[in-house]
Amino acid sequence: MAKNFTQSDVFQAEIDFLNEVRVLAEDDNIPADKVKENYKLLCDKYDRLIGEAKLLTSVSDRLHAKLNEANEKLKKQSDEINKINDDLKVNNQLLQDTIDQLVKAKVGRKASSIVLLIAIILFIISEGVLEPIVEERVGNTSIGFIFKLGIAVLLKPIDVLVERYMMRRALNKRNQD
Amino acid sequence: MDAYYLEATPKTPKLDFNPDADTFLISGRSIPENSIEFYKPLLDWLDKYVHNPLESTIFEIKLEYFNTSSSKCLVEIFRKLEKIHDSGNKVTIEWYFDEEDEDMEESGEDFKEIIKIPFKMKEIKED
Repeated sequence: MAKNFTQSDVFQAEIDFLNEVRVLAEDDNIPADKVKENYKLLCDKYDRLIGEAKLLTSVSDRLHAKLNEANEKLKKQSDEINKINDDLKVNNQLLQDTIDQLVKAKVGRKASSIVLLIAIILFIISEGVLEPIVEERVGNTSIGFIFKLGIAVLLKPIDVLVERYMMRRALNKRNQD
Repeated sequence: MDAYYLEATPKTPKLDFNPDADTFLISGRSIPENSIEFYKPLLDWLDKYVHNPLESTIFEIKLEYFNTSSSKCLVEIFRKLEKIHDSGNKVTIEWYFDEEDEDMEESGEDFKEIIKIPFKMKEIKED
């Protein structure tokens, strides 16, 4: 409503003149020369109004063309941004996969080192402490072999457990970051 | 007569009408929400100026962009300047446009066609 008022307000002078002339047109007692004078004035105003209408139409068309051009440009830029975003998503996924593989490899290496350390400790305990005690009490030398076999068999499950534990920790840490 | 001055905003132009200088200026962007409300005080000021103008007035328009209702208000301003011209005082409108802005140049040409006072088109060269 307010906008309509504003638009008509732009032409308030023209509307006022039109109303003035309409009042005169209703009056049958105006002298002929006065009618002619008003008629001439009306022609001048109409001529002027045509000029302004042409100008406003021209300006308005140009503005629309400009807006349309800007819209097209924005749409093109938006499409380009979307494409860049899609590429970024793919690259991000690739990067994440690479990071995950790197973390897995790192964790695997660490786990292997820990398992190796555990194996050495178990071997030393077996060789230096358990075997002499068992051989002395039981008198069977193959017990030592069984201990070493047991250590060898346990190595892989320990490696898997340690790797899983460390991987879980690494993932939790990444999620917290 | 007091000067009429308004600083530019992102939506409204700078208005610098100082009778102590012989050059009046409208510059910037003219896309106010309500053009009539914005230009009304200037039109009132010009109504007073028409009765006591300088011998020579240069009116510079340096607009980057304006909306349709602003163009109607510019016509109203120019019509008031026509009155000064008709009373025998010298008035010149200088319409500035960027050399790459064909739209603004064409708009200036459109105004030039309907305004009956000297209207100069001035191209702003980029460095």
